[in-house]
Amino acid sequence: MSLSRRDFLKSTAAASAAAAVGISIPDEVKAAADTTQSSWRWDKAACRFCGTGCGIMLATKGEGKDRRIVAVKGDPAAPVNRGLNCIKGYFNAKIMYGADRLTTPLLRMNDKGEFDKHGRFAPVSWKRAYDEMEKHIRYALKKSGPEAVAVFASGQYTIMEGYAAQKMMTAGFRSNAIDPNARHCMASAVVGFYQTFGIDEPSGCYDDIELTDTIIAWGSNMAEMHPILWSRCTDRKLSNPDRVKVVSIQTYTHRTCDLADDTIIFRPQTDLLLWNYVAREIVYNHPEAIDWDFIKKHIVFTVGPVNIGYGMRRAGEPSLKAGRYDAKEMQTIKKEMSKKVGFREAPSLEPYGYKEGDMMKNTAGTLKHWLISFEEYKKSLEPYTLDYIAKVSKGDPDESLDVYKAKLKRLASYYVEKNRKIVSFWTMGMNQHTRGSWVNTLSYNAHFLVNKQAKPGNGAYSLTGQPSACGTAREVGTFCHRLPADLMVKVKKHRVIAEKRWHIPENTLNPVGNQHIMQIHRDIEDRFIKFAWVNVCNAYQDSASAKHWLKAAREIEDFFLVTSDGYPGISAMVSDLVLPSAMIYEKWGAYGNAERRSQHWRQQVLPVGDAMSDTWQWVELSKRFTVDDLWGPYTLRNGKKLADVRGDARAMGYSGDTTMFDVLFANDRAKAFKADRVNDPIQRGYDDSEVFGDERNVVGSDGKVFKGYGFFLHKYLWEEYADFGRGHGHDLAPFDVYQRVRGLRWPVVNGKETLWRFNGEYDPYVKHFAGPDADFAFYGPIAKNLLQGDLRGPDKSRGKKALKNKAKIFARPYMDPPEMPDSEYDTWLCTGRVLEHWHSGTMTMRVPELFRAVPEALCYMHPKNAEEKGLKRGDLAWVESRRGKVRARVETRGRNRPPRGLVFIPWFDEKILINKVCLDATCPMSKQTDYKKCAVKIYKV
Amino acid sequence: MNKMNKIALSIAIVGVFVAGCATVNSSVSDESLSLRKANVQNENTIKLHKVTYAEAAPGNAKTIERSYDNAPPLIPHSVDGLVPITKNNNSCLGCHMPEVAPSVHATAIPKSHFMNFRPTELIAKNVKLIKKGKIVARPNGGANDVFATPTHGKLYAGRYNCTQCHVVQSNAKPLVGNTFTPDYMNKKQMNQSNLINTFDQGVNTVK
Repeated sequence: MSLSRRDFLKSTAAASAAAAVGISIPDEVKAAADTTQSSWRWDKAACRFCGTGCGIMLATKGEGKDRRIVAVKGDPAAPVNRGLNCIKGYFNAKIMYGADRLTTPLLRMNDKGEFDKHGRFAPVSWKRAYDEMEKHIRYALKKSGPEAVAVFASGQYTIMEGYAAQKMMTAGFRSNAIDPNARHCMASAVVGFYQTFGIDEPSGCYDDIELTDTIIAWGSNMAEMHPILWSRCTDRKLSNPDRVKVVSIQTYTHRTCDLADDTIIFRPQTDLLLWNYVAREIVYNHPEAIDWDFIKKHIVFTVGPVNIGYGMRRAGEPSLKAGRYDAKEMQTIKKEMSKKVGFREAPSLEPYGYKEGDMMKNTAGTLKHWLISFEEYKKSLEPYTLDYIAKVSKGDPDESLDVYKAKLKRLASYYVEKNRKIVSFWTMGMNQHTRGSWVNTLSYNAHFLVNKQAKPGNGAYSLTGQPSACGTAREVGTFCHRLPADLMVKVKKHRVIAEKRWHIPENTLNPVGNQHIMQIHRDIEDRFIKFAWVNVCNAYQDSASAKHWLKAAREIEDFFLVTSDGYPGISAMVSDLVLPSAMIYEKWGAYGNAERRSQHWRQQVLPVGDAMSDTWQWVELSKRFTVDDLWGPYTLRNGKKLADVRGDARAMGYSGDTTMFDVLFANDRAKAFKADRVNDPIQRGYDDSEVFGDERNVVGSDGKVFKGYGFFLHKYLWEEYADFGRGHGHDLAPFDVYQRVRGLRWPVVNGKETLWRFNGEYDPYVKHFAGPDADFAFYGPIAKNLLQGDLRGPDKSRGKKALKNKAKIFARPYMDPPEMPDSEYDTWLCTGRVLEHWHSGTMTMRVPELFRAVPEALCYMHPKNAEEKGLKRGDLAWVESRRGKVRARVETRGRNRPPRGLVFIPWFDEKILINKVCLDATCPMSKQTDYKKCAVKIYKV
Repeated sequence: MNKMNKIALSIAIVGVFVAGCATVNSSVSDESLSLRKANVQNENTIKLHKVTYAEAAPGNAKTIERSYDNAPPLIPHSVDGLVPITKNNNSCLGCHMPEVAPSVHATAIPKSHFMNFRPTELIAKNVKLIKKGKIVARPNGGANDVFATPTHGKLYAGRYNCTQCHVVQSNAKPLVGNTFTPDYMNKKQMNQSNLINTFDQGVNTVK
């Protein structure tokens, strides 16, 4: 049938309009409508950016290497976003087309063509690049063992990339020095999950938004950072504005506050006070709201030590001894060892045995905790009266105390009100916090006390920052202490599970996993780590106290830094070798979002130049090392020995020169996953550069044209990884299923996704662990056997108690952060993101529309503060801390509206490296950096 | 791609290479790789340029061509005094609602914004999560239905935060080019949306 152009357009309109009103369309017309853009190929994918995990549809056009993305639309079938995206989501269309894509490896060389740490970058072949990497890895292993080989990993890895990297690092190099930028973003949430539920990931799902009556944003600017979730919140609020309440609890006013019924502006760090106040209101003033049946059946009360420091460098570390930190920096760092109890925190610490002026001696952070009675927990809440907490926590000096108090009372009343459903959302505000693990656990307390957790429309809900912080970093476990599916490197039983699945000898895996991302930076500065590889992140722009790490990267002669990226960013600038990576839609992949939803996509286009995926880069590296190279004996830094497993490897059928490629990636299990572009409807019509090579004929790491691995690598990696979690509460569906659906929320049991975890009505594991009649079971296995004691410590004589299926309510006090404004550094600095840019801006700054919308990072400031400092809107100011300074333009009328005494500066801008100013203090339990508060002074340039 | 092409590409990317030779002549400094274009340790040499945002009053600005077929339009006019959008006030709607837009020379909010693609959710007595709405497509054999329920002239409330998709442009000069090329279905699509007719095109992804 042929149609004129005019008929063509008309039929398109008719088909969709008809569909919209639900009438049937004659088949002939429908067929024509489907081919309207016959030169376009639409396929589904996940958005590249935040943790929301929106579904997008990508249109590509052209053949072979000329096939390019021409359009993007929101996927109307995707339950997360139902056809709507935010501005970044729509501009996924352009992120791969910046004109300065990296297309070839670049190595620093001298004029003789030799590697030279002080040389300029020059293009080299993949083979030459891998020769250099191999040489420097061998040097590092020889110099300080496996702990000297490190990877800056990512919450933006595809699941398969993360799994490949982890496998080669832990099983191949026997190094646990692989830790993701998700450490900076989610680690405190994870400690919160482990300590409270015994298993990672949220109990709720996004449907909570449509089902709740109350949305509380705790330090989260969802309107800019999770725009589509905020669009769902907005729909909920505006559809029933009187019933649905929105409260925005923040350190400065921003877009999220624009929809709120109440905005509570608090002093940085005092969210600890606010949560404890809510709990105190319930326990002391509204005991009738406590669901004692629920508490007695499912909850225990716990506490841990309070003198745990701030995750900064500790006395005796090589770089402190070497004087690499100056006197100003040491003013803050010395609090890591001991501190004087301040007047703000003294009342909170009184039940734990401290009073104002006491010297608190800090030990390094610990996850240790023990059981206490409800009475002890109640005692811990006693100090948090409205008078105390309002006075200390009020963050806007221009707000009256009475108005502030009234808002706090309303806030507590929403949690207390019996028939009101309530969801508490947070992200970086509570995670990037020197007591981030504490404040995360505190959030569950209020919800548990009134039995408003793990139910439709009810729950404390940690939103994730990155697209696969949950799916890759956490579930795959690309952290220094983790293996897939919540297995831990320090647990022998867990290592054995991984060793069996990976067909490697027992005792291959290294039991010591303590090189978290800040430790990797510090180990480099301490001259211990000799090789590091930046994967899918920008470790030299995103880490606080950045001056130290930038300097170390360039000044340590025998340290070799590699960055793989699509574009040259700050990490590439300070590297020795830069590798060109295939970007998101130039490869097959999968991400897992903040509602436990795994979403897959296929390779849409060929990579540019000689770029290849990070998966390929890891698999190629594995070809360079054999059993004899890596599996001999080692002595670790702490004196522990890694066994010589070469003999066991031989007994398993490997020989000394079997490569890690053959052991870990191209084994018989892998080869069973057939590459088949003819019969497999999943692969048919789609490129797969790793499996088949492609028409670019990229000359690979062996100097020969890469023709593909010949088996379905991505499917193998997915299925082998997924097997770790199946039957263990982390169940994932088969690879092919995800190609047809718009994601599924794990655990996926008998083909069904799980909406509300730990709730017997929705989660099949509840009955599995607690019997057919169980209403709830908090079945996570971690830390479920505890000592007993009181707020001041455990009493070993009372022995341990098992806590099967129980969740925990923690007593956690308010404590001051290590650095607060004083007479010289008189202003709080808070950092974060803006809607238009993603992380360090390497992709979004190259999209003209996003760049022009927000071309530089501004210093958002209260107009009165600006006036006091002689600054006008648009002036350049120095923003200086004890660690460094940057220039930024003052904005007094922007979307972010800080109270007097606080400024906000986003970190996406390479020209305004705000992380030079930030402090690398972390939550001492989660090791997550606090980017939300340090002290600065601001003056005119 | 043959070797010469590859070399040509490298040249295009970093600008100053001499074909094939890994010598000082063909090399680039760290600074030239970045958007920063300055030493990472030195803050004094950073060049920051003051920019101005669109200044034309609403109604007087020239529409900006869509970035690609059915891309959300960029805001060509000043939004001074029009933002923030709050729960009680959305100034954008004053001019852009379809019934007003033509008379004030504003781009009318398209039909896609008057359709709710999200089903209404409720928990039934038997605790099942129920989804109510009009099903218009069942991609890939019914795994995820596409819903579309008309909102009868009322803006779908999930689209109330206009500035999450529509942004104002400054006169900042992009630091690097972008080689994306749009492919409009027809010329009119450079300045309009027909998403309401095409939103479910291609949702069947596995044939």
